[in-house]
Amino acid sequence: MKITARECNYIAHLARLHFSSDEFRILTSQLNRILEHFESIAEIETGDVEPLGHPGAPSGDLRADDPRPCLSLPDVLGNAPDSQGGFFNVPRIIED
Amino acid sequence: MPGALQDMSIHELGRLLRIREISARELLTCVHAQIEATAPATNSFITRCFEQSEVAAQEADRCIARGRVGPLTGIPIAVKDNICMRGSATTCGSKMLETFRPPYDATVVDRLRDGGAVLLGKTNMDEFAMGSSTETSFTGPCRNPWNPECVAGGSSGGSAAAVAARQCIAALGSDTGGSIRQPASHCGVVGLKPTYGRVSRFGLVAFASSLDQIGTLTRNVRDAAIMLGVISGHDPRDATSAAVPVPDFEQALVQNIDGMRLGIARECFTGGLASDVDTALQAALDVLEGSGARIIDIALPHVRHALAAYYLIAPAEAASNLARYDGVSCGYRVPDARGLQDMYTQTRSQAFGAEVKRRIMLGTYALSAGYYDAYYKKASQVRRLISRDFDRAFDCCDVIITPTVPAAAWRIGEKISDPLSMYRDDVFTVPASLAGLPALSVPCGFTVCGLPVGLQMIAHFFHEAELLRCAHWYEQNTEWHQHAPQVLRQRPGRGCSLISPRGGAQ
Repeated sequence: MKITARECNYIAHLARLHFSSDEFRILTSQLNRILEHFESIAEIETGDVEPLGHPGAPSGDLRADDPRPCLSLPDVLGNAPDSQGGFFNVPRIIED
Repeated sequence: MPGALQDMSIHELGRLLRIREISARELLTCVHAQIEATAPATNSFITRCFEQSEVAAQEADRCIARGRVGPLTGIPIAVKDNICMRGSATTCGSKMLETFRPPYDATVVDRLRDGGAVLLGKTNMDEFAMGSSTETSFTGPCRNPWNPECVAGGSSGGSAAAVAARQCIAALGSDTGGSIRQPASHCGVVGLKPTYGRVSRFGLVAFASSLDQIGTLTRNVRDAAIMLGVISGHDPRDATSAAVPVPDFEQALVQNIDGMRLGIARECFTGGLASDVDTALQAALDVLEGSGARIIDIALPHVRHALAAYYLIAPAEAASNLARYDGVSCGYRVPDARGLQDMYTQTRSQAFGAEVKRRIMLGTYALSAGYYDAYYKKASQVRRLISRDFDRAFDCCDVIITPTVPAAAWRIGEKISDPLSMYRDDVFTVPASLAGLPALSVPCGFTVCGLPVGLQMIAHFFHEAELLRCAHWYEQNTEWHQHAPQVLRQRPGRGCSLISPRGGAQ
């Protein structure tokens, strides 16, 4: 068993996900099966091999940091579930 | 149904359009009729842009009349639903983005429009491109045109099915671990994943940013070359887009493959390869060798760990990328949340499907304190070793040949509750994804049940021209790409304009 139910609960909290108890039981079992199957990579001797984050050589070709037109406010807010006065509207963050 | 416009290639249709034997509107009418007749059976489209495509076809006809013809002028093309089209729904197959209307076009969409393409709509896909069957879409599964009881593959299953069923002439897809090549194999079409960096990803909804690449699904290799020429090239809006020259891919098809060195890593095929896939692979190697290519045994010793590395890296990146879907800036928000944290959690829990949540959990675990080194870092080191294997292999060969999939398409629902068995279908496609190499799948035969299987070809960085040349030569010496699927044999007689003996559409 790689992941305990307690760890699974903690990971769900980090990921901001909620599961029912039945979903949790199935998910924990599936995650353990997946991790056990992929455990084989632990056996590979990697020593000080540099991790590969992106394939190919980095170009280092960054664009000039010049101001350019960006999306308009209506375009930015057009897909928001709730907006008000040019801002995203969200539930109260700091309670009274 | 030979002669129907929607059965023809970009190359053939382009010629007929240029000499004005057909009009873009006539072609679009045929394709729309085909969609009406067959898309309900395949569920390949999420959104159809009928009105916009009519306007685009009229504009294409005006351009042709003025002699301003681009490589895709008047050609009806479908776009995977994770690629932004301004004002058109871009759902990613998810309830989370059901209402999302992008305020801009992806660079590839810009380039298709500049090339004169007529964009038909958005194709079905696994939710956020996470899946190998297009069953996890919130709009329901996409069905395989060769057998509607079977999956179309995924995640670009809608694009592959639409191309196979003649609902478009070509389509865009995205490939993270095989999401173009695998459905191409299952639907009997050509699927091309370019080199990481060859095609801009600006406007592609991110799944795993070090792996995602936009590519093409077409009915033949020449059409893939034409499409790739249009969408390739550096884009300052994508920092991972490469500033490398774009060759004339279509011109590269002219040369033969005499003396081309084809690498085979036989140790990769041991176990799990269906006998009819193995038979098709061996027959394909015979065709290639008979065409003058040299078959060379190569070693890719770390590739057997590619699936494990991929299914740790891709979920980790997905967990990070999908953190943005929290009900604030776009997409779904749960009503009646009890405060901000509850809004985040309930929104994500209600709007993401089971596979997306499973991968977010797996990725979050692989990145979490105490497990990062054992999983994400280790997988990234293995990725480096796999990349080095390919570098060494390309010292002694030009193109690497593998099957695209271990077996043909399975029945809908057969693997959906067993994620690991679904992941195993990606075993041959993830190595090139991890290394960022260009790869394609070309039809190479059928199973005894009549389902298509594909042959995968992998080339070195930015060597798409060699890849296309090899695939084109193979295609020209076989007839697999000329077969039409079941759904077309059942289609009604209406809506399929034929070329008259005098050349005009009727």
